[in-house]
Formats: sequence, structure tokens, C-alpha cells
Amino acid sequence: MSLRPALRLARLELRRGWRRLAAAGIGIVLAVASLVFLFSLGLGLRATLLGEVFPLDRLEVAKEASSLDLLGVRLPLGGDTLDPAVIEQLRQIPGVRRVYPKMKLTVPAVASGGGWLFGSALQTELVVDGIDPDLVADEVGPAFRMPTTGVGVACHRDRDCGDDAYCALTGPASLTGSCRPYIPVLVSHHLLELYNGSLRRAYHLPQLDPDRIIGASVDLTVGASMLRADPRRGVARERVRLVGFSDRAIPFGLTLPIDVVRELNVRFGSARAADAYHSAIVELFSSKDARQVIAAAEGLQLVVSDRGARRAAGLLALVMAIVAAVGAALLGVAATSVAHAFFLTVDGRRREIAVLRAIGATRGDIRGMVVAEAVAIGVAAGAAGVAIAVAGAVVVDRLAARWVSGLPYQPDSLFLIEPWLIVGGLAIAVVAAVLGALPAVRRSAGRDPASTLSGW
Amino acid sequence: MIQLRSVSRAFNAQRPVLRGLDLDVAEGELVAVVGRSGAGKTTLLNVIGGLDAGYHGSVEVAGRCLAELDDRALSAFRNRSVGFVFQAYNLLDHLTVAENVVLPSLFAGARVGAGGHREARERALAALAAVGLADRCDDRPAVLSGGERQRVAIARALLQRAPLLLCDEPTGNLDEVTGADVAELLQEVRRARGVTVVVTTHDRVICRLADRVLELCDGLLVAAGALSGETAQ
Repeated sequence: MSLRPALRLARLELRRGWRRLAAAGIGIVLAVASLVFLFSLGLGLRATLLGEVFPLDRLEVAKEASSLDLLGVRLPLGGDTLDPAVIEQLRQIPGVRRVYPKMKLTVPAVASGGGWLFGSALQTELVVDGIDPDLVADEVGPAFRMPTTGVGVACHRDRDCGDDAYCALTGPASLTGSCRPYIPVLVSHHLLELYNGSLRRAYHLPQLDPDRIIGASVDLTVGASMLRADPRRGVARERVRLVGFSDRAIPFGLTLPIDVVRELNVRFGSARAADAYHSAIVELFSSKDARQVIAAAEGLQLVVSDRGARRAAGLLALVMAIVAAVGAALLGVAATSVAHAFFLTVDGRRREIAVLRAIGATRGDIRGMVVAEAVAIGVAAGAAGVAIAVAGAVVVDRLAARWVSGLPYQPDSLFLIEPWLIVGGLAIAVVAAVLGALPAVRRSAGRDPASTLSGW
Repeated sequence: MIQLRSVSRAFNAQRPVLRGLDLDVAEGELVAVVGRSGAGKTTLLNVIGGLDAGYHGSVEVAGRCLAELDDRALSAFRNRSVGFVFQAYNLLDHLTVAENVVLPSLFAGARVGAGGHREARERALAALAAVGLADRCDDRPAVLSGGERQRVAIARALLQRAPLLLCDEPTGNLDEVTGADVAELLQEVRRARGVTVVVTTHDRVICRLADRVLELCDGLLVAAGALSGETAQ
């Protein structure tokens, strides 16, 4: 088959019958549009789920604590903390970029304040986590590090201590004190969403604007509890200041720099608490390494708390497989309609094809001509399908932004249109068109020109 | 130029169309083949032109034994050695006159690119000028008269400078005057280019112009010059 006559003849034929052939390609347009739209939606959801809700390139591992179930009560057997040796072992696992130990505050804490925000001061029991500031440096920068300036200076009021510290009076009746640093604190987006979505309605509290509450401070009384306090330990009074929101923060509670939590744990516990980590965030070079890293961590008797990620990934894989199957079925139908259209077209052109054979076209030239027409239809239909899918994604995104706002983890776009998806959409459109045209290709090239020209 | 030996062609066993036919045509000769409808005239042209390969016997055209050629070689033979002119013109209506004429050059295979295309178009315009239709090159066949369409078909057949022209009742769809013009054109082409012409026809003008007139009767070619006289009358 020579390419030149095939392309030129196909061009001439498309010039004549583009309307008819465009009609043949409509099925492919719809199939490719559906496929690209649904796949990009699936990829977008996958990216949101695995990138933000259950990030698989960061795994949280904890000690697999053995326990004894007794009448519904689980009694721990052995420790449930990670020591520095285990952290080092995690760092040595291939595929691991960095390991960030996490430490929980092992004494109760109560936060109080916020009267300026809520109308009256609130008091609540809190769970407190400590994380490495490096873990969130890309989100909140240096704000999550303990301030050092102005600390220890004598003061009468907060104003005397600059921006990063407050004036801690020496007693309730005292007029003087010394400057103490605000402890930077992070809150998860999830907690904010939960508050704005549910809690504020239940307690008739105002909705919080995340941008406007940055810098808000509350008092934190460590060692105190509204449930069960140990009066022998005493309390530590600190003031924490919100410096940002992060999905790496504990979902329900406050997240502090790990050094602060370590210091409090040592103060209220023992020196051994300084190296007792409760979990670690393992950052991977690629989410593709997750399987092997999980296996290695499990070999260290650690459990990976990514069940949600794995379940979500599995569910999405299933959804994508269903989308692919539906897309394949649509393409099959589209290819059938192309086959029908090409059969009719080639049948109507049998005399013309016989003339081409008489003036020197080989069977390969005729085959090439019909295939080139099919490829042209496939490219045009694929491009139209991809364009419709992209336009549909833009419309859906705009509608979602307008009508469905305030959902947790709502991304900027629900869709992820990767270049390979566009190329793939074009490619499968071409493949469907060519496959559909194949029976007509065989028929056109197989006809005897003499009998056609003789009118037998 | 043409040598057929014991050529037989049957589409069913009961009714053979050609029965052990022999034919020799010299280079530059104009041979008219007459015969009643269904006698096998078109089949004979198809066999000579390499369009019909289902025959028995030996067919040698322009020094090539057609039975030995595969599809590609047979297509190249049709492209370079044979020009077909059909009764129904067989022009492609969606192409312009010039595009129709240039079509055979698409399958010549040698030249590619814009230069080759330009050169082929120039040859097409020259061929159209040779048949008196230089000014109709951008028209569609549908707006041409029957005689003009047949001239376009002849121009297309001449494009590749094939040494053999096979014409299947070229004046069959034309009135007497136009048919005579086309017959004159064929004669002119033969003289000017030295091509060999085999024409199946019922046209007395063509028979008068032919060097030989053969009648296809019961699958055999019979009666040369004498029959020519009868037909002419």
C-alpha cells in the first residue's frame, strides 16, 4: 500500500462525503466524550482521595500492640510506643524519603477562651498531638516553630512582649509578669469542616472563616481535665495560637510542635517519655513504593493506618474498571455504527473503486484509502469527544463551585485531565473507527473490478 | 503489442464467453471489435487490460505475460501500459475534470510531494488540451456534455502515456455527430502518439477508421476485412 494515493484519495472522499462520514463518527464522539469525562472524574476523585484525604505517599505507622479482650475491655499487653531505633529502621526501608515521628500528649488538657469569637468563653477537653515542624513546613512555613524572641522579658501586658509572646502574670492579682511564647498550633481542615458543618449548628455558634481566625489564641491547661484529672501532678498553663490548617494535623484536636509535647510529657511523666513516639509519618519517594514499604513496616511489627486509603483505592479501581467496561461497550456500539456506515459508503462507491482499480490502484491502495478515511474520522471524532469531555468537566466544575460548596476536601476541580487521557481518547477513537471500517476495507479491496465495470 | 493464444473465459460452464480465442495486434494498429450485445467484447477488453484474470490460455501485452503478474504488478501494468475508455465514461463526479484526469498519476508511485503533484497536473492540463477541453479543467463532470465527458475519459487514459488504449464502446452513449468527433479524436491520438487502440463498437465511423475490424461471434474472433465492409455499409 502506498501512503500518498491513500491519503489523497481519502482527502478527496472526505471533501465529498464529510457529512455522511461525520454522522458515522457521532457514536465515537459520544463514546470518547463519556469515557474521557468519566475517567478524568475518576482520576480527579482518586487524586483528591489519595492525595488529600488518604495520602498514600505518606503512611502513618504505629506499634502493633497486642492486647487481651476481656468482657469487652481491651487490656494492653506490652508497650505501644516506637523508640528511636525503630524510627531509624523505618528510615532504612527502600523507598522511604523521610520519617517524621509523632508524639501524643500523655496527660489531659483543657482549652478555654475564644470569648471574642464565640460570644462567651468556651471550655473543652482536648486531644493534643506533637509533630515535626518540618512535616508542615511546605504548608505553614516557619510559623509552626516555637518563637524565641522576647521571651522572659518583664511585662505588664501582652503588648509589652511583641507579636510572638504574651505576658504571663505571676499571679491572679499580680500586675507584673514575664513574657512567654505563644505555642503555635495547627488544626485540621477536617475539624474546621466538622465545626462549620455540624457543631456550630448544634451549639448555635458562628461560622468560622479560616482566613480570619488565623492568629486566634486560647489558653491551654495541661494536666487539667473536665473528666478525670490527677491533682497530684499539678497543671501547666500555656497559651496556644492558631498558625494554620493542615491535613497532616490530628483530625480532632490540636497539633503542637513535637518538642513542646515532648517537654510536657517529660514534665508530667518521666525522662523516658522524651523518646517514646506513638507513631511516625513515613514519607515515600512515590506512592508506587507504598506496597513494599507497608510490607517492610509490617515486618517490623508495625501497623499501617492506611486502611481508608487502600479501601478507597480499591473502590476507585473498581469504579474505573466499570467505567472502562462501559466505555468499551460504548465504543463497540460506535464501531458497529461506523462499520454500518462504511459498508454503505463502500457499497455505494463500488463502481468508483473499480475505476480506480482499472487505472492502476492496487488492492492495498483501496484498503489504504478506506483506512485513511477511517483514521480521519477517528481523529476528528476523538478530538470532538475529548473537547466535549473537557467542556463538560469545566461546566460541572463551575456548577459544583456554585451549588455544592462547603464540602470537606472539595478540590478546585473534580477532574484530572492528564495528557495521556487526551492522547488515549484520540487513540481509541482511531482504533474504534479503523476496527469498524475493517469489514468494509476487506469488501472494497476484494471486489472484482471487471464484474463491477461490466455491470454483472 | 497484443498476443492472445487459446484464450477462454467462462462465467458458467454452460455458456463460455471466449472459446480458445487467438488475436494478434501490432503496435500502432487500430482494431475494432464488433459483435452483438453479450458476445464478450467487454470481457475481451478486460482480459487484454489485465482487469479480468479468470481466463485460460496465454495473454501477452506490451511484452508482458499477464498470468505471471501479481496484483501489484498487474495494477502497475494497468497504470503504465493501458488506458481504459468506458462507454459510461466512469468519471468520478465529486472530482473536477483536472482531478479526474490526474488520478492515474496517483498510482504511478514514482513521484511524491508537491513537485510531483504539480508536474502531474501540468500533464493533465496538456492531456485536456489535446482533447480540446483545456478550459473546462475546473468544472465537474456533471456539467459536461456526453461527448465532453468521453473526451475527459480519453484524456485520463492518455495521461500516463500508455502504449495501449482499450475503448469499450466509447461512442455508445453519444449521438452520431458527437460519436464521430470522438472517433476522429481516437484516430488523431493514435496518429499523434502512435498508441495501439482496440475498440469494441457498433459505430460505423470507428469501423471505417480502423485498420482491421474483427467480429466476436460464439466466443471466437472471425472475419476481418470482409466483415469490416459489411459493417461499414
